[in-house]
Amino acid sequence: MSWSKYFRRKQWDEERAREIEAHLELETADNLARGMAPADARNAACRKMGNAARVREEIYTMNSLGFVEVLWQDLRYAVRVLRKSPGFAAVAVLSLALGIGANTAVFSLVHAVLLRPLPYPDAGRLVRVGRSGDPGSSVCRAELEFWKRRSTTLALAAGSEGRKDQSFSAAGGSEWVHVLAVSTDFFRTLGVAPGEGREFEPAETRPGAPHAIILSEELRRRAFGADSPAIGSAVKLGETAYTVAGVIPRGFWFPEAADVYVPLVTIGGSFDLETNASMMARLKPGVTLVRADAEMAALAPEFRREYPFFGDRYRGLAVTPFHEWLVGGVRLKLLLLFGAVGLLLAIAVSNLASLLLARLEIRQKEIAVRLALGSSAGRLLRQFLVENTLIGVAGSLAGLLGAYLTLDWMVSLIPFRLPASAPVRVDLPVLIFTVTVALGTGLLFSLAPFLTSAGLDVHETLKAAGRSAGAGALRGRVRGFLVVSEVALSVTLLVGAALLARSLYRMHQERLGFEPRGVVTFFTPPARRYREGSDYWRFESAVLAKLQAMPGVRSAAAVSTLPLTSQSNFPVQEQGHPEHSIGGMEIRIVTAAYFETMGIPIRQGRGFGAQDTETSPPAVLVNETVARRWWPGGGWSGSHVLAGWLNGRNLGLMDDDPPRQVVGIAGDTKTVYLKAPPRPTLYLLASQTPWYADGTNWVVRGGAPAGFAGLVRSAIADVEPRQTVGRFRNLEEIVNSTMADSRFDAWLFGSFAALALLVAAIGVYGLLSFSVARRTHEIGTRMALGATRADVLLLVLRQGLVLIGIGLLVGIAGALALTRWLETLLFGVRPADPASFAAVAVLLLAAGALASYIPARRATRVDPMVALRYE
Amino acid sequence: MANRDRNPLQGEMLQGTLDLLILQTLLLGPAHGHTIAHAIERGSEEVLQVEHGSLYPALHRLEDRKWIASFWGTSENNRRARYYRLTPGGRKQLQEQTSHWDRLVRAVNRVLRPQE
Repeated sequence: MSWSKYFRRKQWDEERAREIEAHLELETADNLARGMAPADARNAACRKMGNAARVREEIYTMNSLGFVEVLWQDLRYAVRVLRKSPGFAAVAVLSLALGIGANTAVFSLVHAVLLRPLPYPDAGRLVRVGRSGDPGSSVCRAELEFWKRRSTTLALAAGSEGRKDQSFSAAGGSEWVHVLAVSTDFFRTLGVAPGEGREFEPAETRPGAPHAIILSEELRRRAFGADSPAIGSAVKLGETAYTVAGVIPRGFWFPEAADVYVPLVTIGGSFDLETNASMMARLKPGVTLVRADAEMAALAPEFRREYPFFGDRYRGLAVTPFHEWLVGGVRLKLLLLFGAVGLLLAIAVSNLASLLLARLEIRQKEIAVRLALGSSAGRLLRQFLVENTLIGVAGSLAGLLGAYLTLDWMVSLIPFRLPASAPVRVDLPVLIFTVTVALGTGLLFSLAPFLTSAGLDVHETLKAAGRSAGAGALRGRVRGFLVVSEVALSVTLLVGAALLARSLYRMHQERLGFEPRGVVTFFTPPARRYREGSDYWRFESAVLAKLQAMPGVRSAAAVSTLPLTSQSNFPVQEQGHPEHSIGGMEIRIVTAAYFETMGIPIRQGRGFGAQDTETSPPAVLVNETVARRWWPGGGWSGSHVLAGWLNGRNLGLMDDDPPRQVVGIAGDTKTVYLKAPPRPTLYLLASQTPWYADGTNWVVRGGAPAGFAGLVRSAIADVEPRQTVGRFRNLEEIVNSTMADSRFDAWLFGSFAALALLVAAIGVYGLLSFSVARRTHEIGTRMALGATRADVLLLVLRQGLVLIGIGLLVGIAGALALTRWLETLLFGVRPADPASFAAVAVLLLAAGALASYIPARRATRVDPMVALRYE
Repeated sequence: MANRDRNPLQGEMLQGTLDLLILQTLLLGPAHGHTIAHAIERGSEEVLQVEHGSLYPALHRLEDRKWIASFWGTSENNRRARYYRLTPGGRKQLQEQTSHWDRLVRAVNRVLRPQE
């Protein structure tokens, strides 16, 4: 028997039937022997046997797992019940699917970015090394070398530097590749060994060394095919020849994957002070972060002695766990997102619980009849649990499926780069999370009907069905509580959305300092063919002349760096005034018409003009921030600045750059971030600045007819056929893209909040409609006794507004406690911004009033005669 | 199980008593359902009237607990019938339940006739 009995029930049953038949025959035979008539004998035997079918049924049940059997019945019943109210089923499943789906998707992100360990051996010992107090800062190569040499706590240290994308050509053709310059030990620090060849040797990072290059496995396959040898092959990056030294295995990932790696050249001497290497290190086993930091700080004075111009305020380097640094920028955002979808799910669950309570109320009579027919309360509760579970499972599966299908699309909407080492996907940990959440929510929304069904009483329910009963009143209170929670949760989300929206508005209002509308930009990459700076200037001026001659063009200029794109850090000092030094100045190399084209006002003095030529005394403009800092009381006229000097010392960055005379003060412009104040900026004239040729951005005001790009391309081809042109954009696009993050935040919170508001409004509406329906009799009585329609309207409205009011107060208190987490995402708005809170309150009250008004008006239409006859 | 609460015995028979009687009957040797029913009735001098139908769920339950085993055989008047016999486990169970029953009866009697 044992287990097989559950699967051989049919044979069993047949066998029992035969056995019983045999018994009956024996008994009949006995009866015949006692002298009964044949028909009587058989009947007497059957009487003696009793209900044979029931006997068989009893044995049949013994052979079944009762639980499974009943569950199956309940399940079929639940499907039938839900089919009968497709509206309810759809709303319930959809709202749950939405909540579960959103949570699954966001958890996939959280897991991929925050929880999944880095794909490096012993990744816990990897640290990011930056200047003390600024963990993500770059270090100069002198620092990298010094600490690498002197530290006893770092097992390995390496630096890397992102490079511009370049064209790569090998036997297999050419393509555009992502380039990273890396120091020696870079891969060893991460714990990754080249699949073929080796990583860079110290000799290869010296200037003048033969050019070695390391390829990614993917690129190596594309360039050489899978089988032919790559090591030692000659390739070209841009116009430089390289020899392949190694190949990095597939799937290698640093914070960002690159296609090729070139040596980070340590020149020795002054160029080592360029501050742009990202440094990372591997701690020796057992070394704590605190010990590493202590040693770094202790070495700082020695470093200052070796490189005095770092000044007395230089405090050395500090370490941050690599993973923490990597996700630092997005952690808060992801957690906020996680919180937002959590709230959304909470609202969905409250709403579902409320809906289920309402249904329970409606099904009073069904319940009472079933109780009266002998169903046990436990069985009924199990029945409801099965129904709820069915909704829960359907909703969760739909949500999971939705998240799975749309995850890639959703990730593509995220405007910031996700520091994830592997693609975001729905994998096992995410599944476990979803199942846990689904079970938890299922339990939660099933709980309310359970709690309120505790006192199911046949007589009471049968008598009171359709009218207010004990359990009904309790359920009413629970539903009220649920609606209040929904309102409170949506208030929290709404306040967050309002704050973010106001931040976005503030950003749009922020003075840029230039007029982006009507300006088109494009880019010409640098090229080796311009040997001398003057060659480059000739190219630039020829292009400018062509641009200015185009139809509709009002003004055109060139600039080294567009506003709001990247940052430069250049030491600049006023000649003869070492105290007027700025270590990190923005440098903009422009042509004369730049200010006019960009709409940047000249506050004092003059802009660049025809008098400034290649041979005239070099002239510069500074922005207002520099003027305020150096000459707060005026007196800038006649001053000269020294580029590459700091605190009275020539840093040797520019060997023979002449002093440049300040001829004017330009208006401040936003430099890198909209949220940050303008940075000190120095404007140099392109014709007088032969040392800079890192590609040119062009700005053109007016003249953006269709086909402008084509015109520009042919104009530039006329000047220099080999010159490539690209990245045609409106300046407005660039400005807007810097707000992409904030727009995304506001949009995301806004849509969650809108959903939450909708769900809460439906909750209020549902509760009141239901209550009006239940109180039809009472309302009819009131009207019969002389209550006016206005009285009735007020009666219902008051019930709704009280709930909304309580929810609003709770929600505002919650928002006050929670919005401070938003602080870093806000701009120009305090987390406790009264206007945002007030706007939310008004919006919520309006939505709540509307949701209450519809059922209230329905209540006024109650005909007392009909209502009193009702039931 | 779902239907435990449905008493398989009719009338005044106590829950579990039927099991005990079946086991006792089988102590004498293998028997089929019909024989067992009549044996119980005769043994109790017709006081205990077994509804024959209720016998089979009980037999099934006992077999499920491995206290009795069954086999198909031929009855005294040459009919196919399912025979039951006591297993060693069932024998032990019978002893335990019998002594349990004796204690119960003594206890009930003490309550009913305290002076004796």
